[in-house]
Amino acid sequence: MYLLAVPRTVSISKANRLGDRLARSQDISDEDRELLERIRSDHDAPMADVQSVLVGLGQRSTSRLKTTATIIDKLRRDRTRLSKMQDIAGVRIVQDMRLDEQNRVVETILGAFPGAEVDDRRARPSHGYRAVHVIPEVDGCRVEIQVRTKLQDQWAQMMERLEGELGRGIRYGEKPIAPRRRFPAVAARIKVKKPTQAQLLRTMRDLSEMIEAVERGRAAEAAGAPEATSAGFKKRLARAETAVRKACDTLLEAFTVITREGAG
Amino acid sequence: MRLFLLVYDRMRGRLVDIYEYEPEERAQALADRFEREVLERFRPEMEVVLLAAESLEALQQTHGRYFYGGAVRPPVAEAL
Repeated sequence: MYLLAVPRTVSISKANRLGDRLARSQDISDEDRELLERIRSDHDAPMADVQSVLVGLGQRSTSRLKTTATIIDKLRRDRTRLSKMQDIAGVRIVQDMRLDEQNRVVETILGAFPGAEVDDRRARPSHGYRAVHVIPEVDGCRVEIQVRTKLQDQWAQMMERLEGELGRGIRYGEKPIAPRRRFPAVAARIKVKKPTQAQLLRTMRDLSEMIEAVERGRAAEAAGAPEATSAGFKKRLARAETAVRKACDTLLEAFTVITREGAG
Repeated sequence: MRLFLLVYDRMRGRLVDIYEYEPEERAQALADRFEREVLERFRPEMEVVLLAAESLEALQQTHGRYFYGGAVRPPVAEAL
């Protein structure tokens, strides 16, 4: 079944022509801006409906319409067709939960939106980004529901903060814009000798894998897996989780300094 | 859901403005958001985003990156 990413008030071909223009041009005409606003506005009610359904399921969430800048960025980098963009409307659920609990949240959502597409980024992380996306179609509009554990979310938010300094391309696997640029003030916080942009990015990739390892360990422990029952395993897991959570808190604070340094 | 219009300076890593709307003011909030986007269109470092959440505290859980740097001025609980 072909899912329309734009409401029937804007034809697929018209939306795609708009997307092509936005991807090619440096400037946006007033007419194109208004057309894009119309498309985004038309996603608002379906997004609100999804959030209402989630409230009924006992799931706390926040929602947002994608910004013009990020829509255009995605059109240019991914060469996405605007009619197929699945995250113009986005809803986010964040809970301090294990992977198995995350699975149950996803199953609960699928119970309310049968036939919704599922994109499990835990199995296929996107340059370190992990989450589960559930994408139902409501009134002809796709709404992306991001289901994240607290650690997955902290990582994602750190990367979004870094993009302001390292360039938005890092979420697509591109190199940072000034890989050798150093951050003296950050060094004091994370005890690394004047890290460069490239080093910070590598740190984030490593942290993503550490988060995955901790989360898999907790899930194995909860499932009573044989390898996860020993006292030694539990002790190592607890130490790793403490280290990961502390790293996330430290880096989040350190990256605030980066953005201020970048502003001069 | 309450609505929160955030204007965030990505270069400086801090909020410039926060506006809060009642659920029944959703259409106005969306219009204000688009208007502010147009005003900021020549400043790519400025991010204008409208978020719907139960409360500001709930928003800080899911979109904490907007709040780590603090705000230039205190939250403003009125519409544009």
